[in-house]
Amino acid sequence: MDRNKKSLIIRIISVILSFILSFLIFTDVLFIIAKLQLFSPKALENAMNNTNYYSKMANEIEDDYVSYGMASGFPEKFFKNIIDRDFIKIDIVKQCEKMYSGKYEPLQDTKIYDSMYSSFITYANENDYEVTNEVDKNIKYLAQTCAEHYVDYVDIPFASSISVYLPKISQICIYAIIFCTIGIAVCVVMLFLLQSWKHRSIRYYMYSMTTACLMFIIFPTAIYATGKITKVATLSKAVYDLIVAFLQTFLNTFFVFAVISVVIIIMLLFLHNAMRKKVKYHHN
Amino acid sequence: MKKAISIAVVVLMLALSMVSAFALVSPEEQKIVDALKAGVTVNGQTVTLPADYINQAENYLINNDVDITAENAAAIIAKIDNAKAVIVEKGITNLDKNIPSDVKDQLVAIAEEAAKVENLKVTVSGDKSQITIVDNNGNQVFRWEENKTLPPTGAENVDMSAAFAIIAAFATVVVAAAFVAKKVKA
Amino acid sequence: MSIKHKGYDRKSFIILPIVFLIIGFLLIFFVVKPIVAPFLEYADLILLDSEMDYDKEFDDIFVPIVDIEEPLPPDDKEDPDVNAEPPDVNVEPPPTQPDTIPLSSITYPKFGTKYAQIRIPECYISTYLYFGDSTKILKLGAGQSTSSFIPGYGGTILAGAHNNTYFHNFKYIKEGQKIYIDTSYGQYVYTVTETKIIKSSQTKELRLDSDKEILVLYTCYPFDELGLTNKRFVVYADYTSGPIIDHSA
Repeated sequence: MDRNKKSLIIRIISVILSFILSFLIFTDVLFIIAKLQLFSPKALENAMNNTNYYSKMANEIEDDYVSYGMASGFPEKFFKNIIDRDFIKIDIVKQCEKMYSGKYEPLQDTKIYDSMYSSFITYANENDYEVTNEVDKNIKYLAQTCAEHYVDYVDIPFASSISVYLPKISQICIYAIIFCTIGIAVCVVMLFLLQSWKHRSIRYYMYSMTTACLMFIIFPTAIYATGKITKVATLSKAVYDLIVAFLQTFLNTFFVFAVISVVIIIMLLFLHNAMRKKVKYHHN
Repeated sequence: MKKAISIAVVVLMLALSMVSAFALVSPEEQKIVDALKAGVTVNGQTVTLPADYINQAENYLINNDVDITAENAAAIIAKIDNAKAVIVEKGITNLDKNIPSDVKDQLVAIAEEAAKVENLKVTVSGDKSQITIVDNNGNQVFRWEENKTLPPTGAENVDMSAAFAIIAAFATVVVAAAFVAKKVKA
Repeated sequence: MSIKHKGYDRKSFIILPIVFLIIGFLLIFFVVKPIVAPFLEYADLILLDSEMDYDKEFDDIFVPIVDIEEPLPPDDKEDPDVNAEPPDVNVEPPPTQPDTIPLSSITYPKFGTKYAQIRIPECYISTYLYFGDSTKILKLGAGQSTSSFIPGYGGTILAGAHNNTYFHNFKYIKEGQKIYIDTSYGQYVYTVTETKIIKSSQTKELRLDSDKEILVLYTCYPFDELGLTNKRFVVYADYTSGPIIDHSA
């Protein structure tokens, strides 16, 4: 009776530990993915490269410049590719890095102003416009307007507010990963030590991994099922494509971990069977 | 005597039908527009919402052919009063410029509460220098831009940072109400 | 015993993970929800019910009630002969046009809707009128401020267009000239009363609080110089004819 009672208690504790282990595995992976995807400037830059963000953003800015041109005598074709794609990439990447560092400042560069002013004056001279003081003043005003517009596009909305929190949240992720990893190690060791037949510990690991695998699948699937990922309200197509791609990469990483966990489960299954055969052999 | 009375009644009814050049289809909508037009007294000075923004709200109400119920109108007017209370409390005497950042935040918060009423979406670009309110399908229903310099427009070089907060608070409330009424109607 | 064991293993392998899954998600839901709820509420403000359509064309509800020529592209604009007699255009209002029309019978334009055509024959100006004045609209024609009202409503109609394209010929406009706005519900005529150069910050000059119907058109000034300025050329015109909209009907 006591032996059965003891066995039952061990099983209950093992089930509880197995549940805790599954929860810790999911949480650990969640924080790892968040750290690698959401709180990493490299991940954002990758998303920008993959969605051709810099070029699309430049096109949108140039599109608006055409309207300025219609009010100021510069033809539409003048603004085609007026923004250097490498130039805008450098600026955007710089702003992203500032945001993640926690010390965001709006773009202060005067290079765009100088570049626009120079282009306007060159056009005026090439087309025999007389550049009087008044005209020069107007062109400077146009260049200033174009530069401000460029900065508005390149600056990340609300970056100065959220930038303060990003390093802190990133730090929290690291602590959470460490805590969860230690928790996983403790659960694994405890489960192993609790079982008199060690192959049973492998069984509990399999339960945990299976649960975690299901969580890795259900979590992103549920978010995809809401259909909201592609329904972000943003007036810029470039920003829309970036946000959607960024979120999809974040969610799809869970599926990758689901595949990894399936592989681990299969390995544990083989290990479990091998250890059971060994036990049976000894019994016989 | 009878004839005199009937003539008087006709005249009275004619007078009532010509209440205002801006009399809207529904009396409830008119109450809302009146609330927007009515100013507040701040330090002995009357502060009013610029016609620009009242007209946008009015245009929207007409556009959607909405019949706002008395209950919804009261709720909207309460939101308008909230925004006015903030203006009075903070001593804002000019709604065109130089509104402090914390006041703007409060007014935007009122606007966002109003936006949530019927699933209006608020898109913001820059550091709140442009606010666009769109409906469920992304169609623009209202837009405000700070220091709008693109011609032709009448609003360049004006500090609109205050205006955006007001607009967000007032006009969004009205627009949100239109959706509330629309849903109720449906 | 081994068979019983195997059966136990297989059932547990299915049941336990599912039970763990349910408990796990419930735990996440109750623990995380209070923390995440404000962010989800904010997220709801920026999530639509359908995807944004970035290639959507502007709506077009304009069907003129009289035969008028379509506007020419801005590059084909002509300069008027200032010594010639002004062209003879629509001197009589359309015969089928009522004096008043009920507001309920009009399709009120939404932002981005092409709903009318502005013509100033003596200046060879003819362009479509859109409700709304975004940069995209101003590339296509004249954009009406949504802070103003439609013709016939009884308030200010405020519209602008670029000085290098659709309103380039504003430099020839004079007092007394007629401005036609053709809509799907009537043809409106306005008579120019005043022109003015103002600063872009002088918004009161746009007269949005007028208690009678006036037309205010504006564009950038000067007309033929390179660069942007903060000056605007404004044209004021009084209502002359066209069906009055009955707000109460």
